Amino acid sequence: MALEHWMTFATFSEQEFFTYPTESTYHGVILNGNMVAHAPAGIAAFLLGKVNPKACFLIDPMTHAFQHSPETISNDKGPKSSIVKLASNYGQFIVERLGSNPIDAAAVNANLEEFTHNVLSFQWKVLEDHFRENGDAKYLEDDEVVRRPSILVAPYFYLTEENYEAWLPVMSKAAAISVKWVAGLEPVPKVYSALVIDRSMLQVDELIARTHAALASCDLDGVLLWVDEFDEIAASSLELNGLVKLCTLLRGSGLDVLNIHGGYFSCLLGSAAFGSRFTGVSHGPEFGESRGVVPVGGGIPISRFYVPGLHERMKFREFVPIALSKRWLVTAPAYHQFVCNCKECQQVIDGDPDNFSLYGESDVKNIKRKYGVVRIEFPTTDAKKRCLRHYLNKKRAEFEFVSASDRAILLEDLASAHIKFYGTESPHAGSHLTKWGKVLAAL
Amino acid sequence: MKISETALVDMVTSFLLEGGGKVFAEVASLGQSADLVYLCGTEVTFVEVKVNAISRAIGQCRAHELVADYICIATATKSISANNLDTIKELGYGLISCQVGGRCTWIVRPKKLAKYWGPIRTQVVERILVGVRDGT
Repeated sequence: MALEHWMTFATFSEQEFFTYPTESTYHGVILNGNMVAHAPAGIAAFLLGKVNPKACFLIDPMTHAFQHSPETISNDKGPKSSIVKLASNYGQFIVERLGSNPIDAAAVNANLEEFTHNVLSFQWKVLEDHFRENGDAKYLEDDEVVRRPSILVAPYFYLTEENYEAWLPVMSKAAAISVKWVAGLEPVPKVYSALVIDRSMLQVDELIARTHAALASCDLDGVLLWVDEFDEIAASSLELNGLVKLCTLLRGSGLDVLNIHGGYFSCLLGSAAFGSRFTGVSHGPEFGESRGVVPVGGGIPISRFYVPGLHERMKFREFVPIALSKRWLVTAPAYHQFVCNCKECQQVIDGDPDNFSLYGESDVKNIKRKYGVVRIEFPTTDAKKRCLRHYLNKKRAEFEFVSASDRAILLEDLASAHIKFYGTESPHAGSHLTKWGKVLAAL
Repeated sequence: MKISETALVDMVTSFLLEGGGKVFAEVASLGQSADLVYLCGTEVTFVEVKVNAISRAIGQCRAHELVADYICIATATKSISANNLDTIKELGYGLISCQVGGRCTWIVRPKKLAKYWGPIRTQVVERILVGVRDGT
């Protein structure tokens, strides 16, 4: 079975990309619960108008948000309005603590039945009326108007080495309640839990085993997986092997495993060639292959170019010297042979390799700071869109490649990419490509 | 007495202007900001000005290679590690020393790098010149 390609909705400005590069690229769309609670009409319009009708969707209930320090879900005026709206769907005990205290396992446990029903009901029904009221609804058949999530996600919580003993039993119970709750629904959705874990959990076999055991016995259909700040390129072999162990155990119990922030290494793990250890992998239009559980400031945006072969989104200013030193920007054919031949690159380069600069095009704006005005460079909207379209073309190609190739081809591809970028003199010296290759070759 | 970065920038600006040409401060380039850019004829020189923190300045200079003919680090520090000095020489960068009450002097003269990439250099330089016309 081909690896499912999912994309996570982040902002309405990116909604046009959910049918790019083709209408059928994405198996499904992941929506954040707080976004859905905040703008249900807009989300319904997005699903009806900007997503392939054959694609499925799920709403991440974001229940872990109430578990963190209130500052992480607040702005200057108090709890963010989207979080307040989400909380109001989940029950009084969540609302009461919002902005003052994080929820604890005992409080959730005491309210678990009602809380779980509320969380599931929110996912199932929140968009119902908004689909019917949408202007596009009149052009659709009755059964096409109201769309239902194909997966409902049981309440889940952020697990760390320190807290898992308290939260894991709560998650197991919530999962069991969820499985019962969906039995009466039509069409019956799948039921997933979500493993949102600290990366240190991947380094201890016992934690991996206990996490798996807690969810494997709940009769779930699958799990969403999100490892906090897990950058596959920077991850250690120990962490990569931990990820392999966890998803191998989960898949061995018959569970779907959808990595909601995964990169090319996850795609390889999800390929049949390496045992279909993921059933799906998701990323955002604006990358999202790695993300922190607790939001942090984004900093100043800079142009980043997804480098095929390296499977890494590099700063434009860092990739150009590499491309120049290897003479990949000398002619357009050289660029297309050695860097990228996707349809966006064909259009951008348009026969002149100097046009590669369009991926780094920027404007300078005067920004007021504490000590005066500073001039800061920002990527132009056009440059961001070019980088994004190129990235989405390459992601589609990666999903197709891993699904169609055997392990020898996939391993050879990593090895040859390492040589292409790092040279032949020390082909066994370390890079993330060789690290991935070693982990995968052992499977 | 310690010299401030603002005073250091003023000293380096005066020093560069002795060679003719024009000096521009806080120039945005490739997602970074160069402390000073000196345009003289068709040649472009980027200067990072640091009271100390030479290693950091060297790191910042790397991206300037895509735009500049010459790259320099100007500093007020009296002692520069042999390691940093070797790196600066190896990379072909220049090093300017500025002392309180004194003037700036060349410790290492920069070499012409010829590593720039035309399309990006044109974009950055044109933006500097447009900024001059717009008064920004």
